[in-house]
Amino acid sequence: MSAPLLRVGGLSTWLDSGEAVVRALDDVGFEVGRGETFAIVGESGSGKSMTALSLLRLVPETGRIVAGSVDLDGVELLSLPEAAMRTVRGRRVSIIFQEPATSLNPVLTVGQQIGEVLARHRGLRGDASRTRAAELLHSVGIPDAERRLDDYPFQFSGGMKQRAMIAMAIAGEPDLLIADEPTTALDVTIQAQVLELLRTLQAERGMSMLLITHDLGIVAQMAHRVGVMYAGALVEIADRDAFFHAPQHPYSRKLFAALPDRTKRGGALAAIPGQVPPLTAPFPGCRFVDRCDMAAARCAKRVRDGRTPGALRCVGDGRKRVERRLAPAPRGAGPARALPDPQGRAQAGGRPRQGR
Amino acid sequence: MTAYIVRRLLYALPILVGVNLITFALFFVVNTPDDMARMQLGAKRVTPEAIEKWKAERGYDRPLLWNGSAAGAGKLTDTIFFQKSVRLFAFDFGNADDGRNIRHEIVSRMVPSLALAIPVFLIGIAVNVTFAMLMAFFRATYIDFWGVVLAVSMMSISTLFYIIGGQYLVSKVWSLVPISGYQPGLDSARFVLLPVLIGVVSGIGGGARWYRTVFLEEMGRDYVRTARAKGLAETAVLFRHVLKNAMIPILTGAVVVIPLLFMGSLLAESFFGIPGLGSYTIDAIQAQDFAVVRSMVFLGSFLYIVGLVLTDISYTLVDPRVRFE
Repeated sequence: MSAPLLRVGGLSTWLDSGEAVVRALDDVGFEVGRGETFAIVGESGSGKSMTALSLLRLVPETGRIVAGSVDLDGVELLSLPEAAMRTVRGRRVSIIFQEPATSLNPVLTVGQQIGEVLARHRGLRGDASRTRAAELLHSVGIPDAERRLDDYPFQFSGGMKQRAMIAMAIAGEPDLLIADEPTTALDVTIQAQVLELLRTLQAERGMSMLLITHDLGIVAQMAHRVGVMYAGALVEIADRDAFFHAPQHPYSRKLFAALPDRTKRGGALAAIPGQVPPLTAPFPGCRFVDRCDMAAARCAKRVRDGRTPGALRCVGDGRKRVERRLAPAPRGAGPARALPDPQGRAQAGGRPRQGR
Repeated sequence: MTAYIVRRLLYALPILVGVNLITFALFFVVNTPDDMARMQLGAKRVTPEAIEKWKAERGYDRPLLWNGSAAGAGKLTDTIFFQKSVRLFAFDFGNADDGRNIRHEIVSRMVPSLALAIPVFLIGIAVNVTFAMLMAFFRATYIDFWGVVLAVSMMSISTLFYIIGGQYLVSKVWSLVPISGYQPGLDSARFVLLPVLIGVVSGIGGGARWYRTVFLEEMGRDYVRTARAKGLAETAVLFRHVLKNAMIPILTGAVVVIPLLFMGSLLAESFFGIPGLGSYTIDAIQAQDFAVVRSMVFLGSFLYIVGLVLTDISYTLVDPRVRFE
């Protein structure tokens, strides 16, 4: 395999919140290969979106990236001057945000907002820009694209706004598309359409995609590889199939245990006891130790196994027990549990479809 | 659009009627014509005959609402309410105590008022927006911090201080422009220069601080992050994205005062001796010329209502999300 497109290592981002410093990202590292979809899953506040914003150096004003490396195709983004960084944003790396309703400028037409990217990164102006913008809107499935260019975002429905956002994001023909919970604000049928659109566009253009979500169903459907975030750190990185068959970290396992399915109907869902620890102090050991029922004494001191950069692997009894329990299950028999699927299709095995 | 404006103006009519009724109550019921006469003639040794004579000269000798002794429609029209209040709707303000026609005075005094008020308004917005954008661009730096400190200090200083200080420094010490007075035509520029300067300066503190808040609020919005994520430079983000959105509250907030520009400035006009409507009002209050004060109160409320209608219309012009419905 050739060198990955994006290589993130040791990324730490802190937020100043009054007195205390919140370590929103702590030593995060992962890679995204060319044409690959890497999904980051995690609960709210685990640092998923902060990872995305840190890659683009768009962290909020209270935040700063204190350490780490973001290597995009051999270029270190964190040491680029701001002017050079602006040629990366929108051109080599673009992003789709969670709320299409507020992420589009309400007083500029959709055409103007797409045209801005075309002018900035493609040197297109006037008629050429307009024609290209219409093509882009058409390619994200908006009918009558030529006419809708002059519409304002409020004249678009929620799903169409997100399609317009996607058109804007791909206008610069980026190598990496970051999709930060692209379907969270949309209803389920629109979710499926938008995900399908993203997958098609990615295959057509050979883009890499960093998909951020809290929905394991979307991960199963879209991702090649998965990273699980907890309390500002990646606790597990795995291939999608391996992850769904045998999650390594006790936190990942508990996530699956908390999923509703048919066999649990009528009963109480498994919840993880306790709360996410405060991120104001550094963690000497595993950050999940207080809530883990498999924790060993060494968990409080040591976390790394050194095999996967950036991911804090479990060193407690948890990993062994998980493996022992899952070992007898024959491969190919499908996942042990039904996963929620936005499109209602079966989730058994297989890489996500490529091309069409 | 015409239909919308007409309808909006019709909605304004009841408000105007209410204003008229309240003005009537304040000027003729709370403060009766007898009180007015006594105040004008002096409290000492005033005879009932003198009061009656004063009232008859000015038409205040009629009954308030219902004239039983008049014939036909006169029962309603030959009253103080009809003669003094209802006629305001036709902008028939009657005569002042010195016998001059109030409407004629208002029309001729509007020009000096506007010569002062319009430059203050336009230059003021431009200066405040520029200052506010500067602070917003350099937010959370020393420029922003000292900008806010400056704005707050300028806000805390009384307008009177700016007027008197400006007159002393610019006119007396440096002898650049006349200290006060007015002449019509092009010559007016010489007299209006200093009042305009002082009007703008005294407005910077409050205006720039408010606009800075509007800019910063807009800069925290999601679409600004999207614009930055497109690779746009910070100036493009500020001028193209933020300014356009921030101008919605700024413009619509400014539009409401446009009609009131006709009323002139009470303080500046009196201090600079500009014969506008502001000094007219102040003089009338000092001379207790109730006819003029009443007219100006009515005119002021009328213009304020026009301002509100204009605000609604301006929303539909600057914000694509608002349409006439």
